[in-house]
Amino acid sequence: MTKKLLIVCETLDNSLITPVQELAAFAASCSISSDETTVMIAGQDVSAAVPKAAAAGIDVMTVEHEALRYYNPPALAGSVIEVCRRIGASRICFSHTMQSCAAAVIVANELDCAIVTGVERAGENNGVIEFARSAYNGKMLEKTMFGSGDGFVCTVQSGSFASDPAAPNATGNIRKFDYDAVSEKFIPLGITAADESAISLNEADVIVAAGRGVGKEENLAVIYETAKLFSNSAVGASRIVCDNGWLPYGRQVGMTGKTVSPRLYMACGISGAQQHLVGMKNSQFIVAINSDPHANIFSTAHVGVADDLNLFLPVFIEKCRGIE
Amino acid sequence: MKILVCIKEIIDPESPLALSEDGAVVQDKNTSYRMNRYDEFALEEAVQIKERAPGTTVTAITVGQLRSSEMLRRALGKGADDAIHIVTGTRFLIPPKKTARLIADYARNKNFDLIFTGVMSEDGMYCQTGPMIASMLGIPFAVSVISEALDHLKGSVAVECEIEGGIRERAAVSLPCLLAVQSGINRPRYPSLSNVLRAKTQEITKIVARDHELSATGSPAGLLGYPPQPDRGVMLEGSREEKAEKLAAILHEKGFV
Ligand SMILES: Cc1cc2nc3c(=O)[nH]c(=O)nc-3n(C[C@H](O)[C@H](O)[C@H](O)COP(=O)(O)OP(=O)(O)OC[C@H]3O[C@@H](n4cnc5c(N)ncnc54)[C@H](O)[C@@H]3O)c2cc1C
Repeated sequence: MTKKLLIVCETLDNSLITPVQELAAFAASCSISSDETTVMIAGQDVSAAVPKAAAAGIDVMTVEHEALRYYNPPALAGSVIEVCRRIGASRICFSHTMQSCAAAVIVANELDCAIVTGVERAGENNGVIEFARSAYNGKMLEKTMFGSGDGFVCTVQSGSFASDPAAPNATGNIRKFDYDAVSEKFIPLGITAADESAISLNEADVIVAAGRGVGKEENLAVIYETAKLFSNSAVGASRIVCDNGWLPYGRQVGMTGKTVSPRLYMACGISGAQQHLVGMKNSQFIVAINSDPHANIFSTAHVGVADDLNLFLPVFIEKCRGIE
Repeated sequence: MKILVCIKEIIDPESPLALSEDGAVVQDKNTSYRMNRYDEFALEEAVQIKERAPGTTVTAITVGQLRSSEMLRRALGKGADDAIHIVTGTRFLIPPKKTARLIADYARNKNFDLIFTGVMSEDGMYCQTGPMIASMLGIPFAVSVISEALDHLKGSVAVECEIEGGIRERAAVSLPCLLAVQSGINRPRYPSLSNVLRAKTQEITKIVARDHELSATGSPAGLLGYPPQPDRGVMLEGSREEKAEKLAAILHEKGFV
C-alpha cells in the first residue's frame, strides 16, 4: 500500500518560499506521489501563496497563524504533525531551508521516524526508494534506502529537481486547518533585510569569486587583477572568506548570500559545498580553479583547472593580456 | 550559569578521502583531523559568555573515537572548564539521531542553562544534531544563530538567526535552550598557554557508548559512495603555461577577453 505524502510549503512574511513544483518533481522522481498527496501551506496569511502552491491538481491544506508570519520551526513542526495525524500521512517532504530543516528534525523526533536532510537525487527501483545527498563538501555521496512501506521525513535541496514545465495547472481542493498550539518558548520578532551593498554582484556579467583557497587576505590582489581582465566584472566570495573578514558579507555568494547567474563565474579556491553551489550554479559559464583535483566544484564547472590559484592566475593574466 | 558545548572532530575534507570496501572512510597516516569549524564558533561564544558572567562553567562534550580526546584538550586550551568524551568506534558519520541521543542522555537532569552546537558538521552536513538534541530534551532552540544576548531577568536569549539570502530573523528563546551557531558570530581565539598547560593534565571524563545505543533504530545508516562523474565539464591538461593558454583561448573565443 502506498503511503500518504505531505509536501510542506513555508512562507516568510506572507510570500511563498518553497519551490513547490520542485518538490512535486522530486516526489515524482521516486514515485512517492499519489492521488492522496497533500500540499500544506503555513503562514500568517497564505492567500497570495495558495495559487502558486496549488499545482497539478494536488489538494491543498492551509494553516494560518500569526506566529507563522516569520520562521518559527516549532510552530511549523507542530502544525505539520497535526496535519499528518488528520490526513494519515507518514511521508513528509520539506525543502532544505533553515526553518524547514529544523522543523523536519522536530517532526522526525516526535513521530519517531527516519530523517534524511539535503536530498539531491532520488529514484525508485522495484519498490526500493533511494535518496542521495552530499557529504564532505560534495566529495562523497550518501545514499539511504527505504522500502515501499516505510515512513520518513526528508528535506530536498533547492535546485536539484527540475520542475515539469508541462505539469497541468489545475487547482486541487483547498481546505483550511486550524492550529493553535503555539509555544511561547520561541517567539519570532521580525526580520532584517540583508546588506545590499553588493547589488553590483547581481548586475555583473562576470564574477571572479575567491574561496578560502586564496590563503590570505593579501592574495586577493590576484583575484582583483583577474576581475580587471573583464568588462562589467565584480569580485565575489565564499562564506569563509567573509567570516575571515577578507571581504564584506555583501560579497558572499550562496545560500545565505547572493544568488547570482552571471555570464561567467570563476570560482577560485572554492571547494563546492552545496551552500555555495545553490548561489551560483545557474551561471551561464563556470570556470573552477582549485589545487585539489577531486574538489566538488569541478562537478559544476564547464572548465576546470587543477592548480594552485596563486601560481596559475598570474600566468593566466599574462596570457589574456597577450591576446589583447 | 551552566553551559554545554557540543563539538565534533572531523576528517578534514581536504585530506585525501577514500572508502574501504565496507564503505567506511579510510583513516591512515595521511588523514588529517580537526575540530568542526562551526563548533569552534560555538565554543568561543560559550567562553565569551563565561568571561562576561563570572561563575559560569563551560563543559565541552564530544561523541567520537578515542583519538577525539585530543580535540577536547584543545577545547580546554581555548577556555572550556571540563570535558566529556562519549567514546565510540572509529567509524565516521554516526547518524545524527544517535549522536543526539547520546548527548541528550548525558545532558538530561544536569540543569544546563544553555547548550551550544555548530549549525552543521562539515563532514556529514546534516544540520540535524543541534535541533535533535533540543527536541529530545524538550527545550526550545534556534538555528543559524549569528548573534545572541542573554536576558537573565526575562530568562531568555535574544537571538538573530541568519536565514536564506542573508536575511536575519530576530527571536526570543526561553532558557534553558539550545543555540546552533553559524560561522561569523565571533572570531574564535587560539588556545592560551596557561589553559594549554592546565589541559595537559586535566582529567577528561570518558563514557563508553554501548553498542545498542549506537544501533538504535529510527535512523537508517547511509551508504557512502563517490559522486558520479560529471558529464558537463572538461579539465584542462598540460603544464601551467599550457593550461593558462587554453583557458585564455576559451574565454577569448566566448568573447569574455
Ligand atoms: C547554513 C549554512 C549556510 C551557508 N551559506 C553559505 C553561503 O551562502 N555561501 C558559501 O560560500 N558558503 C556557505 N556556507 C558554508 C559552506 O558550507 C562552506 O563551508 C563554504 O562554502 C566553504 O568555503 P570555501 O570553498 O571557500 O572553503 P573550503 O571548503 O575550505 O575550500 C577551500 C578550497 O580551496 C582549495 N585550495 C586550497 N589552497 C588552494 C590554492 N592555493 N589554490 C587553489 N585552490 C586551493 C582547497 O582544495 C579547497 O577545495 C554555509 C554553511 C551553512 C551551514
